[in-house]
Amino acid sequence: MGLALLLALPGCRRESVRLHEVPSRVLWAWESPQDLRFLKGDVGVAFLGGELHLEGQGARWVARRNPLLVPPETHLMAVIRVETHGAELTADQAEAFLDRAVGLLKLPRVKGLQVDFDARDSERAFYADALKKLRERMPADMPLSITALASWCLDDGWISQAGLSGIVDEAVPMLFRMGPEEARIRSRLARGEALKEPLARFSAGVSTDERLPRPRGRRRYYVFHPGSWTVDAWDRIARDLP
Amino acid sequence: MIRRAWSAFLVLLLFTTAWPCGPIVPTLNLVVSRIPDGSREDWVAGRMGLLQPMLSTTDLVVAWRWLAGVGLDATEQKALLGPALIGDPESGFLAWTQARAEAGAPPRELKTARVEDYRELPVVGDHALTLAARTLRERIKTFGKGSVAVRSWLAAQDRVFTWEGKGAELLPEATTASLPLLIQQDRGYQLAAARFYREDYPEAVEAFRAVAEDGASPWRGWARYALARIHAKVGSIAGCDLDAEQALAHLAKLQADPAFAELHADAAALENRIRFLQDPQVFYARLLQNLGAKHRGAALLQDMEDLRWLRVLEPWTEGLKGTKPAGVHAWIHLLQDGTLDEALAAYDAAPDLPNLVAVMLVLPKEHPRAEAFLKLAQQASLKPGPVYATLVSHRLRILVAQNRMKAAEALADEALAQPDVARWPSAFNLWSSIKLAQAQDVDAFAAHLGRRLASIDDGWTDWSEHLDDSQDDRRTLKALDPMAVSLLNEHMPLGQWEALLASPRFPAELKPELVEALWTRAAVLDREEVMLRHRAALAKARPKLAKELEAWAAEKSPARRKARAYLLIWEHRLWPKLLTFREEAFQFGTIFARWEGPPEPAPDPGPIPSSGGEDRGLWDYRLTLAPAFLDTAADREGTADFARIPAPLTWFCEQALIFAHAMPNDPLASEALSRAVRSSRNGNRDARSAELVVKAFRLLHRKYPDSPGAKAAKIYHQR
Repeated sequence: MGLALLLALPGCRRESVRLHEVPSRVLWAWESPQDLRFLKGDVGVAFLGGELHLEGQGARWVARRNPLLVPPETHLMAVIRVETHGAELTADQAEAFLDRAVGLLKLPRVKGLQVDFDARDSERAFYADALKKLRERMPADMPLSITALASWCLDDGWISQAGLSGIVDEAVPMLFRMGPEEARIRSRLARGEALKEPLARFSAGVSTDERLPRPRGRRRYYVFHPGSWTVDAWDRIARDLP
Repeated sequence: MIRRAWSAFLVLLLFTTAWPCGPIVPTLNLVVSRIPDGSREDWVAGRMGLLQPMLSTTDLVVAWRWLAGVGLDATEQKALLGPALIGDPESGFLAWTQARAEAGAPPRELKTARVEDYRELPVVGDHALTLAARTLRERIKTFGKGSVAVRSWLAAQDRVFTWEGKGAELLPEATTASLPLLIQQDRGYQLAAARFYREDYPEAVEAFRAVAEDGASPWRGWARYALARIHAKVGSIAGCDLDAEQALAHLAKLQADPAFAELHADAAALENRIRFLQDPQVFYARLLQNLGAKHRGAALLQDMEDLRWLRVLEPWTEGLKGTKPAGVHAWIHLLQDGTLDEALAAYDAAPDLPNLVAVMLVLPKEHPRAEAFLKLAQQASLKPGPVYATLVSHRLRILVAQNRMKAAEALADEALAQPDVARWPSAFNLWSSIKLAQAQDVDAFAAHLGRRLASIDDGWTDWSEHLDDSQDDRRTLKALDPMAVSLLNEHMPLGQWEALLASPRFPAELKPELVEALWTRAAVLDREEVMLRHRAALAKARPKLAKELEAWAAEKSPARRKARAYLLIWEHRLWPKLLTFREEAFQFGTIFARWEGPPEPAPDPGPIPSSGGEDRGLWDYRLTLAPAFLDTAADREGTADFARIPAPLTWFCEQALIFAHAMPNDPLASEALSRAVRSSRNGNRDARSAELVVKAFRLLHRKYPDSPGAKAAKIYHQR
């Protein structure tokens, strides 16, 4: 408890100390064969470990199907993707989420966990509760990251309001695939508008196939690439990242 | 369905004061890019809508065959519309779990996969679990639940599936002569399978061979399949003479044995894998030949699956490294990753329809050959056919980009008059957007702002829900053009909303949402006369509101009338939250076209890096909506309306405070304040919200501390 409190203390103004070992460049390795042995230096990998589909009262786990190869020293973060389809969000479903998430931590060399769940309004309470329980089951010093819709970070504030500061170490605003709001969000970021969500102040998620947004004060970039990463794709985006 | 239509309309009541707005609004289009435009039945029958480059391999092969004049015969179409070769990966697990329960066995943990390189590799496949479940049920039927035979069989099978243990003591026990012959035959196969799952391949081969050669064994076909599978999986095994020829011979015998018809399709697939391993180049050449051959029959399904499999493996396929894709494979590459120069080179080398489509998909308006290709595309789309919707759509794209709007409108008219347009939501939406952009009066605007929801885009399930994609849905207007909605929101005054609602050309199926939005907007703008004019229409469109609307209209006190309207809007969530809309838009999974709006104030230069074809197929129209009926005066009025609309939280608080001050003893006062405070949890806010919510909270708890409203709003949320 003491350690958890200490780790949470930096709060909003400073990045959580749990994240200090997470590199400033992290590749998202999604569901494609990923041979990332070409990575050099302090570059991390956040790989999709599996998808949990919550449907009705059920929970269906789809594990990663494609291989991931990384240099031995790579900082690895497992990502659990949650999808809901008319889910009733029962206690059993929350338990399934916890089991699967904790299960990913048992994979070799995994040093952090990221949850990717675009929770709707009606799912936020379930999500926040599940994250709190997840934190209790994780090692106290292990980072817990979540992805966040850009709208959550610009105009909303539900993540912090739900009491997730100190539970979640960062909310990574996904500044790509922003749908119909894209132009407006880009425009606001280009004008230097800050993301209001305190947990979203230090990192950003971008993609190799979209123009790079320039949010203020990012320390860490998570980079998505459609399909399998290649040396060229990484070199190109690595040059462009601030 | 209601939710879908509702979501599309939520934007009608977009509340913000911070967004820039201008007289010109670029349009968005509702176009799917990863599933066929229209039904699969139409697609495989060659009644294709808009062809998008990021369709699945199978859908693109189908398209290529139609464009290349090969087509698909009735047998091939039936095969493609039948069950997928790859079924639900969970069905075997569930079947086995259930069959064990039916046998009265206690639940038992079942591990079906091992983890390697951060992925799960299936060990016990769905096939095996399904087969085991079926066999268990048959044995129960034959020997009875709880019989010695069934218990023995189940104990052995549980050991088969306990594949992590290596010790011989964990293998199924040998049978005794007292057990029925069938159980003894089963055991032979179970022992072999147990060895296989433990990767004791030499022993497994020996055991499977014994079963395969036992002409009386009901498992002889499965054993032959297993032998071929072992070879495909591990190749040559030390101390074992199982080679490719033997594996293929086993499969040939299996395919010739009518007793194992259910395995024939799998055997054909496995045969292809082995032939690929034998000589990838030969296999690849034959595969391309088959994919381009007429009347392949049901085997075409396997051909497509083989190409899909090869494409999945592409970065990893050692045997084909350095091989240049050819035939339909090359065409798919061209569509998904090719440059304009490559498409032009392909067309110049072979000026056929597939290559014409490849060029048209990427041809820019300013290219020196744009005119020539527009003519070629026109000639190729003179009459309806598989390529019609695609070529017309791209002709329109280029014409619009060249600002030849009259020609574009004429072509859109021609295309929208095609009887098949009802089948193709994406093409319909694109073509309608041109007509919408050219609308000169409210009726024309009303006639062309309806959009069809085109089902989900299955590559984007990250933010989508599965939609019911029945034919009716495809042919019915379910949404408004998103940018027409922006125009309504930000520029059109209430009078034009009413004119739109009254237009006989406004789609009837969308009227309930429009009247609801109009009534709510009028409430927020304090235009009670408009609310009254549309009360009856709203009650008819939304019967669940009828009683409250009646009470609202019957209310004598103007202040109480306002409060009742406020509570009604709050209760029925007629005031959508901006954030909800954003997420709901994603939930629809409707792909909004890539678009470029008015110049952004801050520079963000540079083209989108070309890193693959992932973003291809997002539409790039740059239409402008500047309808003639929206003259300067109307625009000014509409813009002023829009500017008066505060964030929801601010409006709720304002209304509640005004009412509570005006009628402090009215029972509605505490309730109105309470709901305003509760809105602070999720309600979208603006600069005034913070102060107002504190005022509402303090007044509620100072004036009405014991009211149910105060008890329901013990805290307020602040940023």
